[in-house]
Amino acid sequence: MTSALTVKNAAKSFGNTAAVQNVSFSVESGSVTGLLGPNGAGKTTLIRMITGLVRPDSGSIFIYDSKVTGSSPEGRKKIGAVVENPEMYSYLSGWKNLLHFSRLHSGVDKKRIQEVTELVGLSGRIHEKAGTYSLGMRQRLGLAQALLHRPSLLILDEPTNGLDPAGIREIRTYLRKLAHEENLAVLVSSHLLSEMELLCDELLVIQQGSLTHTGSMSLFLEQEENSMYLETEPSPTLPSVLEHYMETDVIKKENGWVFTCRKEQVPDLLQHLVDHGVRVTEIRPSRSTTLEEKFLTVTEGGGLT
Amino acid sequence: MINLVKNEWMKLIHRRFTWIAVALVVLAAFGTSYISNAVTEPVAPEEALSALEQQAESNEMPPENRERAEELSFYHENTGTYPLLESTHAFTYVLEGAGSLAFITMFTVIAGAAVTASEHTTGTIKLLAASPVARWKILLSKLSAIAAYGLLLTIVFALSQLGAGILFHGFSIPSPEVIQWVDGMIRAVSLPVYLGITYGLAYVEMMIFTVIAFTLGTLFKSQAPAVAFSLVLLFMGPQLVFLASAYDWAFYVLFAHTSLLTLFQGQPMIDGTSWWQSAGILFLYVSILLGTTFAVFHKRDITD
Repeated sequence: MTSALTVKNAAKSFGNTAAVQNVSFSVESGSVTGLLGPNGAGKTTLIRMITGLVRPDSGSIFIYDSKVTGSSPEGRKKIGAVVENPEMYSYLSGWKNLLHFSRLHSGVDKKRIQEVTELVGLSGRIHEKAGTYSLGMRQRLGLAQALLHRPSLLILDEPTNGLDPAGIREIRTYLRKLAHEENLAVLVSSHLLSEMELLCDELLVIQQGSLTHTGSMSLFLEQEENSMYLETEPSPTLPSVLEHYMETDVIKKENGWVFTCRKEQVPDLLQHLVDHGVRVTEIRPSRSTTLEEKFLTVTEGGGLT
Repeated sequence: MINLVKNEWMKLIHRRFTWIAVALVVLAAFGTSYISNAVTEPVAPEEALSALEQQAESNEMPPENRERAEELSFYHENTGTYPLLESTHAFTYVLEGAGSLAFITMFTVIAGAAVTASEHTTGTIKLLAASPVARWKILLSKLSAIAAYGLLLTIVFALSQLGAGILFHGFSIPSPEVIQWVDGMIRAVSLPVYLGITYGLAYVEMMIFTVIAFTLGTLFKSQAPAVAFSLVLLFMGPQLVFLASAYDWAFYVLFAHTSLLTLFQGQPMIDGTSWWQSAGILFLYVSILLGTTFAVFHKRDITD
């Protein structure tokens, strides 16, 4: 089966700064994929390349079978996107904004505009000027624009930004429904990390223009559940001993080290450390149980320094 | 494509500036006509004709002016009409009005500079560029909407001038034709055709400056410098050509050819300029400007 979105070795530089380097991944229909990364990591550049706003220097991007280059519109018919902020004409009403957008696509009639307006819960104020909308309402209008032409790939930059908790839940439920029941491919970038945990099936982590993690969200979280914190008396050999034994990243944190390790591995690990003359003072499940901390761990992770 | 132009038009008519410009155009048409009516003595069509006859018989007149007056008065007497351009009547202001279209050009220059630049400023360019519409269509629809806006302002201006003429002088048509002495010959053009030609030429001139503003606004992604630069060219361009008229290259400057009305009246900026030459040079400049704009916009990375 063809993926909804395939990115192959995409790279883009602005001047001497490499914004995105050699990124490859795919997004499948029927799932919500989260794109996670600190500011300036290249999330937006990546999304701009997918939506045809920016041309990749090299590599290729496909929406199903159609290639997206800067000016080939074919693939873009299937994309609904909000890039960075929901953009709208403040001097036009919400309705006219949607009408404007509908004319950029084929096959969107007034009935569909009405339908989407109700869907995002803007019916009451759709004929007011968009300039008077709150951030939350702008998000809803942005989502309405993205959904208007029934896209099969939905790309949203921080979709819950500015929404109240009820609104966030509503949008989250709706996005998951779109993916799981209507088989859309949804790609969401967000800084609300706890939100990603509840929303996404798959996770991409990007930092300094490169992908550092791709895989299912549940696997990502499972690793997190098996995270251990270890404190020892000072020992120069510890990092190498630990890293060699664990074969996973070991990260310095507070006065000790954090790494992935299942509970049943702990006795053997301790034996190993004792054998190498490391005097352990504490070992416990790591307290970084939220995705936020995991995110910081992953993105700051310079490993052992 | 029709849908895209509808979009641009919708955005245009929902901006306050658009209607302020229309109001100013109406106000200016009536205002200048009012002042003109107040400060100049009206000349009845019969008086204008007898003035021509006097000139024809006056010995103080230079021979070419006498010839002109003789031919014109002879033509009018034979056809039983009165000179339209020299007398005061309902069409007085609208006949002169085409020469004042530089005033309207200010508004189309502002709109033309803003039409792409403002989308970059507000970030809405992303909506357009991420849609399945090819980028050249986006630009073309914008240019079309601005051209339509210029046409609307021109028509409103002409109708207002005519309205003012009727208001101040009552409705009358002293002659169905506009009779002029051009290049040593009588030229008779029917009144509606004369209005069509003069306003049409003034409109083309207006569009050339609008295209300059559109180009600069698209290239700079910013309205203010595009407007400033275009207006400087609008008002300084002809001066520049005048100053440089001693040199051969002045002929190839755009502004030696933008003033199409003077060419129509037989007095081109540079003597001996033909219609074909002016049309060719204008076409060349406009092609270069629009070619550059479309090429740059086509290749542009949208990073606003």
